[in-house]
Amino acid sequence: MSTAETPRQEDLRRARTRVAAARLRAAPGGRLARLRLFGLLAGPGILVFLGENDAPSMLSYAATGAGFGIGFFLPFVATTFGLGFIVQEMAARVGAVTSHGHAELIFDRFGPFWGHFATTDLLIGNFLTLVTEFIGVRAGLGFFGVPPAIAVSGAVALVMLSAATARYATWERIALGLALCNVVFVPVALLSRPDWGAVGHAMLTWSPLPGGLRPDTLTLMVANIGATVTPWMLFFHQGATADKGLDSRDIGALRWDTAMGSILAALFAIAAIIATAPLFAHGISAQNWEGAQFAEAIEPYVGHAGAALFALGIFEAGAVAAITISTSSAYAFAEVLRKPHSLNTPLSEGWVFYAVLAGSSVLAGLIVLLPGMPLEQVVIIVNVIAVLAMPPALVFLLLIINDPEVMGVHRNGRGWNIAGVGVTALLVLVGLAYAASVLFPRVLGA
Amino acid sequence: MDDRGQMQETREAARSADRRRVSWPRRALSGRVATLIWALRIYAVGMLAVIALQITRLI
Repeated sequence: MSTAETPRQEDLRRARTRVAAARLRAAPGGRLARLRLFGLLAGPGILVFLGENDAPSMLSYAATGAGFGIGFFLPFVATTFGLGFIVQEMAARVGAVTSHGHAELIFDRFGPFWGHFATTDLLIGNFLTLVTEFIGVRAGLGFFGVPPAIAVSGAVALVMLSAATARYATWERIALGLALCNVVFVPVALLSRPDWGAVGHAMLTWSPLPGGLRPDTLTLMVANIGATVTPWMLFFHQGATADKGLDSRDIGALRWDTAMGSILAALFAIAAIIATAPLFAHGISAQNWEGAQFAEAIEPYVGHAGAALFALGIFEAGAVAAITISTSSAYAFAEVLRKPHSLNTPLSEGWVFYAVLAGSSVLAGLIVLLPGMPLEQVVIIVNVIAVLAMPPALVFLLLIINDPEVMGVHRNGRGWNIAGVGVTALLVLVGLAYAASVLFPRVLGA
Repeated sequence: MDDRGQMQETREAARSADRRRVSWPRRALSGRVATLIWALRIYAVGMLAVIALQITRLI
């Protein structure tokens, strides 16, 4: 299966991670050594979930809190992160066992048609999502009076600079450092002085949806699912796990990494809903608002500092997701073209990979700056597209993870298959319900 | 880094290169999987139509 070839720079860098992991595994020291080992191996799981707490997702959560309060959506959002964990654990496991990206494996095992379909599907969805990330960046920094051109070009520069390090480890540290700033939604929620009894009651009892199921609420539910289970997460998580050099020995750590990412992201998402819930309590309509408008609207309830933190959070969410989503596009595109696809590759060698990463960001940034673009509509439609595009990606993930030739002893057991098929079936049903609401809007009383 | 560490790193780098170069042949699809793939094609075409309809309504 292999031929003698000098290892590339990407292999040498992965080797350093492997040697460090082997030393920590062999070192005496119990809990501290295990913690250091986890610190070395963790990253892709936390990053994928905090990356998915992106600008449109945080705006969806904010719109949810403002439109419906906490009763129905707090447990609903917590559940969607549980679904996200099931999917992402499988993606990370495939990445660790095969050392290959998702697009590459679909191409190999199911032929060029599905390889190209999955990649094209991903690239279109990712590009639209990138546009919304820069809308978030523009809206977040707009609260502080930063002109759109400076805000967007600064974020594009950030995407390019983090990748220009040509070191996965450095790139991951930059992205993770920024992603952890997603925590700012927690102090905003605390500043809104929530009724903790009501929050606990909402989580435990799952109240009915205020106003019943209507097309707009169905769209918001689909958008909230699309905020946690999306194709780019799957492609990114598998690609980053392979790029970092993790293998089947690290599956336990990967599982913890993924769990930690989903818990942190769920907490921050719930915080965003709680932060804007006072708008619901005071009957203030927040349809089609941007980040700055939410920040201004909640100022009477959370103070100027809280509003500023909220705007900063929307900027951070957009900037981090711009980094991770453009990387996910670059992995998939270079994989199907059989070009080097690693953040450890020097720029001269991996120019196709870096060109997709930088080019998609620049183009998306330019679109956001064009006058007259229907940006609010793009924000609404992006998460919906993510949900509709997810079942094909999930079906291929399930087929690959049950493939004994590819996964060997690490293929899915019955429990994971039941969970994986359950999530896929649920997404198909949600997709069909959404399609029905578009085709026959009167059925749901529009 | 000591000699032992250097050797270990060289070994791991070679292993990474080997893993990177592995490829799997195209899978022979069973009847059930082929049906599933066809269902996926129909789903994909249907959802593309729904998204297109929704976008034209929004714009």
